[in-house]
Amino acid sequence: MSAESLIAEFGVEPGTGDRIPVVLIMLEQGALDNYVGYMTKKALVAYIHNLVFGFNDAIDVNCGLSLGGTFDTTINAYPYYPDLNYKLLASYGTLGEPEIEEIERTELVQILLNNDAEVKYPIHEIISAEWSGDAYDAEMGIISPQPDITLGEEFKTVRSSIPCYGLVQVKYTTIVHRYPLEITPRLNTDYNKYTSVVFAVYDGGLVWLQTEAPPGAEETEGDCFSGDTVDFGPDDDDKKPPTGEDADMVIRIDYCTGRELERYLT
Amino acid sequence: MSTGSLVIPFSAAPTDNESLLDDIWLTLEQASIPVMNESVYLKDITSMWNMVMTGASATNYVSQTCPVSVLNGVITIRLGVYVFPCSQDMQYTMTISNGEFGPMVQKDVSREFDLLFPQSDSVALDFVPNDDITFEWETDAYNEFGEMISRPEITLENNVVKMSASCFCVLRCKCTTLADYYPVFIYVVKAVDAEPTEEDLTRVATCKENCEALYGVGGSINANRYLPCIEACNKTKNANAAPDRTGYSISNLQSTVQATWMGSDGKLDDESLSLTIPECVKKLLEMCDDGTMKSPLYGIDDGSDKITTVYYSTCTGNILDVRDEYPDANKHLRKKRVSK
Repeated sequence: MSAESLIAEFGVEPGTGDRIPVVLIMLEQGALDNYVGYMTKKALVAYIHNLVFGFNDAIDVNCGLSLGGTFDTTINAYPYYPDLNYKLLASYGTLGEPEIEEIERTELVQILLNNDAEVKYPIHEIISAEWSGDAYDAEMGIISPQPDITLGEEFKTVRSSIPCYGLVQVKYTTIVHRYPLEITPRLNTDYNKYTSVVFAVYDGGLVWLQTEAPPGAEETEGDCFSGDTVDFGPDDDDKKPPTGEDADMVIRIDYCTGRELERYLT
Repeated sequence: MSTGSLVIPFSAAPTDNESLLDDIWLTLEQASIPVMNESVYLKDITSMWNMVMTGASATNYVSQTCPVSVLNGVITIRLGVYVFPCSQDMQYTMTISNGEFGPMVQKDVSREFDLLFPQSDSVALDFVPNDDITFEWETDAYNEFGEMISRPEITLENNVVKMSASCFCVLRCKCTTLADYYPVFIYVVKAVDAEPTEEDLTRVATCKENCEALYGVGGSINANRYLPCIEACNKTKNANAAPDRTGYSISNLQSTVQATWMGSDGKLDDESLSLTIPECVKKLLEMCDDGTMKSPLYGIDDGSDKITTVYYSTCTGNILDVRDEYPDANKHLRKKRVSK
């Protein structure tokens, strides 16, 4: 056995010790238009018009995919620090260069006998914060003057100077980096052709987001013009029937004759 | 990004794995139908137009892609359910609340999907893949601090994909898996005769009486309990009785499949799946036997200058809401609840 003394070195391996991963960015996929992937009634009438009069006019249907079935979407990255050094990557698809924008948002947040309330996006700057109505203490007494509202310690919080109940309308700015993401359908597969995971890596953490393809895209590669994938949009008809939860009388009606069968109070 | 295929070492054959013996499970999945989510097809409209142009009636047109057939007033909906058992020799029993199963066949089902490891070292699949499984790295591997690490070794134990180290990464997984496939047939009889039978009336009256005894009468009714009671009671009719014919003319829209098996602890385990009825079938069910579509709006004229519109469920006949509209005062649309 060697007589040399051993020197033990203690170090902190990545992922161990006192380091705690931190979230420093928020990811969000840009919203699709209301009627993407759906056939509107207007387009349907246009199609029937073509049939009746023998026209061959193009039908204005937005399947959410461009020629060749490519899905173009936007990934919005909201860094908690404007100068955060991060890298956005996609498991599938091509990310373009970001457009940086400072946007203004107004939100109504609720404070529930605590100091902090959270807004949806990381706050870059608070433009204004006004109480919507009164602020109340734990005994539901009105607090006067109303507590001050300031930026909280967390990136998405506003802070009341004292714990209370109340609603605060916060107008703030947030920095967004808009990345175009182009996803071409995977070849030689019938499954999950458009799936992709977008993730941001930075010193201290990693945040990811699973993207969503337009409705019907996985089944048809957006070939909704040929007539295989047509549905009416969810908001195509403004006469939405109520849910019935607050009805206080039930009348059973024969569906096909419209005849009343029985009625009773609920 | 690397796209090289990996060879997956199998640590154990499925039949001699202890965890499998301790954990008996299966998963259910409804077979996908291409037309599952669509209710209107341009090609159907074209077909209907062509029928009309050749003098044929398109009133009762049924899309050929819709998994449904109509014969003598009976609508047969054809669906399918896959069972993915944890092992091929697993014993289980299948039941269905509405409809019946056809003969089971075993099928090799292809799968291709992204497998996300969200800072974890294992992900359980809901099926046991065959040994043809391959993985492709779609991303590098990262630790929880966003640092790239060397790609961990991937292993598969039954249905669990394991990494030699916890990480974030995305793999593209391709495989086949052996599933038990059960054809499902759901039979729906639509209303032909609007008049209730004696048996229907007796059943409805008895249910009403029983539920009122339990949950109150008139204004004191506990609606949250009364309505489910009525619905449950009405479903308990004799299985050999004539199908619903009045007020419930559209029935059997719900069907639940259940698999039951003996767990490793000696207790019965089960898994249920509520079947999704394709949109095209729903549209067909909404059609009355004379081929007309009934509007969910049912107007009541009480002689005043207002128009009362009753919204009711097309399937149950339940009133959903009542709204009064005053045509003389345009844009004056008031919601009014039915007074007790």
